[in-house]
Amino acid sequence: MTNELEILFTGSIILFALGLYGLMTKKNAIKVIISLEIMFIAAELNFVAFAKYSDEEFATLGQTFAILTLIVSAAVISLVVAMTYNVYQKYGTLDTSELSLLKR
Amino acid sequence: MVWETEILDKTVGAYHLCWLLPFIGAVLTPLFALIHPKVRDWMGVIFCGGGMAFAISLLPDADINESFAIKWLPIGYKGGELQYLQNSILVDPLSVYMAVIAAGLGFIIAMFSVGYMDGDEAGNRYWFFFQFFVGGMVLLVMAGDLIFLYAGWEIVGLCSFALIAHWYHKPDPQGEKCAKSGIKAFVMTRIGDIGLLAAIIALYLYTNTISIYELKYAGGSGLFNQVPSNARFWVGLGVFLGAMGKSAQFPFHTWISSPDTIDIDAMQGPTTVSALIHAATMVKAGVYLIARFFPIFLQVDIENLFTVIGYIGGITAIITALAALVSTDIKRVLAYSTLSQLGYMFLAFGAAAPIGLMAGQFHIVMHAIFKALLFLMAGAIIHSIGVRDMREMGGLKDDFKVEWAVCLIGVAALAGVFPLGGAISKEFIFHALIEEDKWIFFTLAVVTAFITAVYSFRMFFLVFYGKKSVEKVHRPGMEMRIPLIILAGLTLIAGALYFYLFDYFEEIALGVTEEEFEIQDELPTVAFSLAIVLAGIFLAWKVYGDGKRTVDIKNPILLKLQKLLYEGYYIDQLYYKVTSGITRSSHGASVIHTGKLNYNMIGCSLVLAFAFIYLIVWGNVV
Repeated sequence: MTNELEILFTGSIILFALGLYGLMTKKNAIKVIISLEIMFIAAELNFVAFAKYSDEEFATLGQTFAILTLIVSAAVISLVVAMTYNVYQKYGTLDTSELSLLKR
Repeated sequence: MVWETEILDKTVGAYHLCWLLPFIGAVLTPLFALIHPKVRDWMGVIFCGGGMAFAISLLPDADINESFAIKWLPIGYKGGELQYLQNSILVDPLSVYMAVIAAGLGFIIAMFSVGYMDGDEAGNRYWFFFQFFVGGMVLLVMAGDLIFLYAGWEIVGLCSFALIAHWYHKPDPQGEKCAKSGIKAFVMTRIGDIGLLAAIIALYLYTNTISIYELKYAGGSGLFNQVPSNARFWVGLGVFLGAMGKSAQFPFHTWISSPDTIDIDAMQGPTTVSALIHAATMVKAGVYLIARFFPIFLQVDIENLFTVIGYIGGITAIITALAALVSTDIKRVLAYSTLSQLGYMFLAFGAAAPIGLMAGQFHIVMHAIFKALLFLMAGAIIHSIGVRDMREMGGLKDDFKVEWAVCLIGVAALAGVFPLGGAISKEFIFHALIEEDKWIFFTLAVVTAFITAVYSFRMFFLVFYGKKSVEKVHRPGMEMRIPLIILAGLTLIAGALYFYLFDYFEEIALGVTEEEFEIQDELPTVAFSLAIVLAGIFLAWKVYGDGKRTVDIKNPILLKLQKLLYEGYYIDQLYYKVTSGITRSSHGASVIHTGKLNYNMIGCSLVLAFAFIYLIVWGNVV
């Protein structure tokens, strides 16, 4: 017997797994960024789902946290895209397996 | 005095604008740079000036002691009322006092740096971080709860890192030194920040509040009492660890000034950065933190904490004063001097009474003014001549008349010549220590005062007297001289602030007024300190007054002592041994690098899957 909370929770796990799959297999930097964003969204969905089923004292805490996370992830993504653009200008490639200057 | 939290009105008050304006200026810097670099420079000055204007406008009604909440987002319903996620801004005498110092000195130093950083190729970065720093510092001192305080704390730490390492793009080895200095400053202050964060978290866990006024007033005698008595000392120590990191007290003092042979310290940054961050504002943040928590600590009776604060302040004051005596770089002498005076402020706090708090707070503003003056004067000279080593300077008295006069006023204030402001605050500290019967601290303070007089006038004589070293000099322009003259004027009249101090801090002073300090009681201390200072000046004049560049020491014991002081007691060498050991071991551990993102993520998901299975099978979930 499934209720709404379990459906939302399962949806969040599936989204997270999709994002993780993207991180595990894709080499293009832009695809990696999109997968990261999908993982963020999965966590936010989880928070909002639990917000609906919490008692009155924390009725909107989950949604508040999701909004805050959205703001932070927007800032992070804009910074990461700017960095990726600069990396492409400097090295000419977006392949993450070739960009390994920090490796000893 | 009623402590209230008000809902933010639709109008934005002066207490918001004084820290918002520099932030807005910082964000708009690249936009102004597109028009013309000079526009960017002067708009930076204007935004800092706006912040200063709003901070000064708060002065008349600074004793309202109210905390204005900024509500972000709703949390939930508690007893029918909607609760918000909120932070607050506190307007009370201490915050407005520090905000005026921070914003005012930011404005004056911004005006100076228009001339000093003229033509620098990374001006955008400089002005962005400069204004971000001023905004962050004002936010730190006006914060009404610990989260805003910590946010401001981290902002000034970040901007200090970025500004010290400002010239990292220069070719090696100079660029590498700048980068290393920035990293060193950041890491050392970070160690202190861990203490502060631990204290904030512990306070929240015990008292369930982050608001500073609730810690002091709510529930009758303050919520801090909910901390169990065996934990109170450690919470206070965590707060003091944060102050030690930022204000560079004894084990953490090397990020501001290291010995000449190592040369990796905060003096690698531009001199205006040294004036702003390491003389006037950021290092005062630690002193402000202790001052803010001082009434709370007094109420809960942790005497040992004040002893620790006093000893560490005293040790720092003495060892850095001795190191300033043998240093040959002008900025380094001033940096060691800053550390020594900060040690004085913590010594005053070690008196564990409201009078110690007043003495320390008074010394904050006096020291900020004359130290900024001295650093800017050094900056003007370095900008004109191009050398920092005092052995290569000399005989500058004829060419740099304004700087000579300004330097005389500055070192007189630093040494403690009556009736300049620096002397009054120093004598107030002596009085506070005598009043509370802290004789060890008093001895440390007196010895440091003597050494301070010697090294400050040593610097004065080495720079301006003796044989002329450079022939043709390019004098600093008016935009660099006007801030110097303003600051010199402020140094001369700042001593009069003493008479307003007790009315202003009425609540903290707890009824102590300046009428209680009768002139007859004061005279012995004044005469004593004046005698010490004059003895120090006489010694400096005797040794360096006729233009000698170095002193030849024959006695082998003194020679060994000089070498020890010159090398900074080998503290930096010890730190480098420890950190290089850690770096070598992590190089050894880095053989497991793969260099490919996908392999790393496969590893992560394997760990996640393992944790998932473990929780389901052996945990009590599902």
